[in-house]
Amino acid sequence: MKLLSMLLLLMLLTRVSGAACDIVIGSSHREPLTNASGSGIVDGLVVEMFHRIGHSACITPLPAERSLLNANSGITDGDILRVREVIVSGRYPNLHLVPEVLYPLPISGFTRRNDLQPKALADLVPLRIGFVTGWKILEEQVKAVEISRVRGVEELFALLAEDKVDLVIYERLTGQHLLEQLGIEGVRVVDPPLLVTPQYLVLHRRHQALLEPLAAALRAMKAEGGYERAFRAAGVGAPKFR
Amino acid sequence: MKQGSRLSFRLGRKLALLSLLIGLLMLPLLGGLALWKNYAAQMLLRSEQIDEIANASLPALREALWLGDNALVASYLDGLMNYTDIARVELRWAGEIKPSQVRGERPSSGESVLERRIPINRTFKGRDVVLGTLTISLSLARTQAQLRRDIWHILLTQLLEMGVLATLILFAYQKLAGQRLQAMSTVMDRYRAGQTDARMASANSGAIDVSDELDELAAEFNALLDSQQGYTDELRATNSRLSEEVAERRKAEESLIQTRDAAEAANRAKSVFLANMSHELRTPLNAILGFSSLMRREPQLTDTQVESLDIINRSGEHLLALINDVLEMAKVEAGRLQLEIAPFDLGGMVHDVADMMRSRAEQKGLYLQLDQSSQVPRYIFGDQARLRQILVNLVGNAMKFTQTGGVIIRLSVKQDDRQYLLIEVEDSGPGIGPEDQERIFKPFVQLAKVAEQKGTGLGLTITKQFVELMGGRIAVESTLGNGSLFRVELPVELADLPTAQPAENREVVGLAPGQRAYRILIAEDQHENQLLLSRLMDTIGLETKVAENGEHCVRLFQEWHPDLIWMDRRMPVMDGLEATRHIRLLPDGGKVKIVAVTASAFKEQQQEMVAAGMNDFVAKPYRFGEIYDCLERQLGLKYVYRSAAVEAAAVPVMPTAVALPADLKRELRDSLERLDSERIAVLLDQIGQINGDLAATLSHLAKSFNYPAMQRLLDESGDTGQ
Repeated sequence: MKLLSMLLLLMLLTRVSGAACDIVIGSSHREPLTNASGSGIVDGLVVEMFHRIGHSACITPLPAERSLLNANSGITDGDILRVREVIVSGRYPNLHLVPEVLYPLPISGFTRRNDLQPKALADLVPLRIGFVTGWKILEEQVKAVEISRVRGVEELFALLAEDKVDLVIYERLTGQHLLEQLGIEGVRVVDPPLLVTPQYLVLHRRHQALLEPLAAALRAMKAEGGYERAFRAAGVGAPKFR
Repeated sequence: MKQGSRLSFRLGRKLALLSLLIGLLMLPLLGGLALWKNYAAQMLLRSEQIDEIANASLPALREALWLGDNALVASYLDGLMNYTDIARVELRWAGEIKPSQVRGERPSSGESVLERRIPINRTFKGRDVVLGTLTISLSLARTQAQLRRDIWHILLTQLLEMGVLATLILFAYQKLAGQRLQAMSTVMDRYRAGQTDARMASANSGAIDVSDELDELAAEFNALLDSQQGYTDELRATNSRLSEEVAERRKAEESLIQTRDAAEAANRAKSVFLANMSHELRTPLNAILGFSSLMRREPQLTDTQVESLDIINRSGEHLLALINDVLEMAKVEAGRLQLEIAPFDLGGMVHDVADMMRSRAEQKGLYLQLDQSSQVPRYIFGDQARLRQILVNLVGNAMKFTQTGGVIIRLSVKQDDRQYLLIEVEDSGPGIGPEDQERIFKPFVQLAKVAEQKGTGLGLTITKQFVELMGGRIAVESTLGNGSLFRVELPVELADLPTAQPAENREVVGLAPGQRAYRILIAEDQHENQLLLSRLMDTIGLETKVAENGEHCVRLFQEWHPDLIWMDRRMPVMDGLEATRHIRLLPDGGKVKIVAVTASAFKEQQQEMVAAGMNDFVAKPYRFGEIYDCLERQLGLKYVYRSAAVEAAAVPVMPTAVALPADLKRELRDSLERLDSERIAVLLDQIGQINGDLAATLSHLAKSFNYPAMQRLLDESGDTGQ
C-alpha cells in the first residue's frame, strides 16, 4: 500500500513536470483545438485519455502530412484528428484508429456577403469558392463557377478580404479563431456547417493494445461530461454527435 | 667549317637531341600527370558544383519533405534540373512512403556522370529523422570535352617547353663548352699545320685561370702540346734516319730482285740449252750407235774390230743414259715432264726390280725382302718406266747407305676416296738426321762423303718429281742410327686386261717372202742419218730415195709416190711439219704414211707432229727394232729374224755362263745390280775373249738394258758367285 502510494506520487510528479512523455502525438491543427504547448481543447482531451490508461502523452505540432508520416514511420506515436479514410486508404499501413470519434469537425463557409446562406455544398455552384489545397473531400465534392486553391489559410482569408472569392471553406473553430487573430472584420461564419467530418485519434501499430482502452476512456469522458466541459471552458460550443 | 667546330656543334646537337629525346620519353608521363591533375581539378570543381547545388536546394527540399508535400518536392526537383550539367535528380522518400520523384534520364553506359547521394535529415525531438535521399547526377560530357581539348593543349605546351629547353641547352652548351672546345680544336689544327707554338690562351692571354673542368683541360692540353713538341722533334730525327734506311733497303731489294730475275733467266736458259743440247747430242749419238751396230753385223769383222765396235756402242748407250737423266731433270725444271700412261704388269715389274736388286744385296751381305699385300693389283695404268725408276732409285739408295741388316720393300693399297698404292722402302742403314730429311729431295744433294759420291745427285729429286707428277706423295721417316723409311703414296687406276708383253728384241735380217717392194722416202738433212736409215731399209730390201729438205721431199713425193716417208723434223728450207702439211694437201697426199724421226725429247712436240698430219713417231737415237716395228705397224711388213734363225740352229748349244771364271761372273753380277753400264761393257769385253757367243748374247741383252735377262743367264750357270 505504502509502495503503491509512493508510485502514484511519482507518476503525478512526472506528469506535473511534463518533462518526460512516454507518448508523443503529432497535431497539424491550430488553435483553439491544438497549440504548440499542447494545451488546446483536443490536446487536453487526448492527454486525459492517455492519463486514464496510465500513460503520459505530449502533443507536438507538425505539418499535416508530416504528422501522419512521422506517426506512420514510428517517429511519433500517433496523430490526432484524422478522418477514417486515412486509415482505409492504406497509404499509412502502420496507423490504427482509436474506435471512438474524438471530434466531429465542422467545416463551414466564411463570407463577407450577407445574402449568402448556403445549406449544403450543392448551394455553392453559382459562387466563386476558395479552399486550401490538399483538402481531398473539398476537391472531390465542391462544384462552383470559380474555384481558387491556395497553400494556406492566411492566403485563403486574404482572397476573401480582397473580394476575389464569394466564399471560402474552412474548419469552423480554427477559422473563427484565425479571423480574430488576424483582425479581419466583416466576415461571418455561415451556420450550420457545410460538412461535419468525424475525426479520430490514430496510433502507430506498436500501440495496438491501447486502442480499445483509449476508446473506452474517451467514451467515459463523454459520459462523465468532462469532454463537453473541455469545449465550454474554451468558450466554444460543444460538438454535437449525430 | 673546321672539323673542331663541327665536332663541338655535333656535341651540342647531340646534347640538345638527347634532352629532347628524354623529354619525348618523359612526355607520356608528364603529360599524363598534367592531364590527371587537370582531371582531378575538374572533378573537384564538379564535386563542388554538386555540393553547391545541393546546399542551395536542401533547406527547401527538407521543408517540402517535412511537409510531406510531394508536389512541392517535384517543383524543387524541376528547379534543380535547370542547373547546368545536371543530368538527373531523384528523390526517394524515407521508407518509400511516397513515390520517388525522378527528373532526367538514367545515363547511358558510355556516358560519364558524377553522382552524389545526399540524405536529407531533420532533427525532431532531439533525434535525427531521415526524411529522404536526394541523388544528383552531374553529366561529365562537358568536362570530358574540356579534357580532350586539354590533352592537345598540354602536349603542345610540353613539346614547346622541350624545344625551348633543348635550344637553351644548345645555347648554354655552346656558351660554356662549345666555343672553348672549338678554340682547342683550332689550336690543334694550327699545331698540325706546323704552328707549333699554338696554345690555348686565357682572356688576358696569360696563364689560364682555372675556374672549371674545361679550363683544367685547356691547361693540360697546353702542357701536352709542350711535351708533344719535344717528342715531335725527336720523332722527326728518327723518321729522317728511318727514311734513309728504308731507301737503302729498297736499293738492296731492287738489286736482289735483279739478281733473282737474272738467276731465273739463267735457269730458263739452262733448261732451253739442255733441251737443245739433248737434240744436238742425240743426233750424232744416233749415228754413233746406229753405225756401230750396223758394222757389228758385218761378218768379215775381226774380233778386235767387233770388240772396238762394242765399246763404241756401249759407251754411246751409257752416254745416252746420262743424257736422259740430265734431260729428265731439265724437263722437270722446265715443267715439261709428261707421263706416258699405259696399262702394265705392276707385279712383274716389282718382281723384276726386286730380283735385280736382291743379288746385289746378297753380295753386300744384306737381305732384300719383298712384302706384298695380296690386295695389290697386278695390272694398273701408269708410267711403267718412271715407276720402275722410282723403285730402283729408292731401293738403290737404301742399299747404297746400308752396311748391315737389309732392305724391305712393302707394297700395299689404301682405300680412301680412291685407291692408293703404297710403296715403302725401309732400310736398317744409318738413318737421316732431321735437317737432312728436308734437303735430300733437293737437286744435287748427296749425303755421302764427297769421295764416296756417285751419280748425278738427282735420283731422289727426280723420284719426288715423278711421284708428285703421278699425283702422289713421298715422305721419309728416319732417326739417326735407326734406319730410314721412304713411303710413296700413289693414286692407282686398275687395268682389267694384261697387255701383250713386248716381244724380245730380235734382229731383222730381211722381209718375209711374198711382199712387194715398198717405196720409202727418207727426208733428212744430216748425211749420217740419211745413210743409217738407207742402210736399214736396204738391209731388208726396201726401195729408198733421200730428200735433203722439206721442199725436196714434197717434190719427190709428187714424182715418186712413196708408200712411207721418214720425216726429220728439223730441216733447212722447209721443216718436216710444213712438208707434211703440204703433202697432205696434194692428190694421194692422204694415203702416204709419214713417220717423224726426231731428236726432240718433248712430248708436246710429238703432238704437234700428229696434228700436222704425221702417222707415227720414232725418237732419235732409235734402236733398229723400233724402225722395223714402226714399218710393221704402218705398212704391215712381215720380217725374217736372225734370232729365230740362230735359235733354230743353236738351241742345243745355247750360250751358257758355266764356263766363265767365278770372279768374272761375280763382278758382272755386281755391275748389273749397280746398273754400272760402263763396267758391264768392260766385263763383256773380257767375256768375249773367253766365249764369243755368250758375249754376243749378253751384249745384245745389255744393249736393250735387259739386265734381268742377263742375271738369269748368269743364274742358270748354276754358280751364284758366292
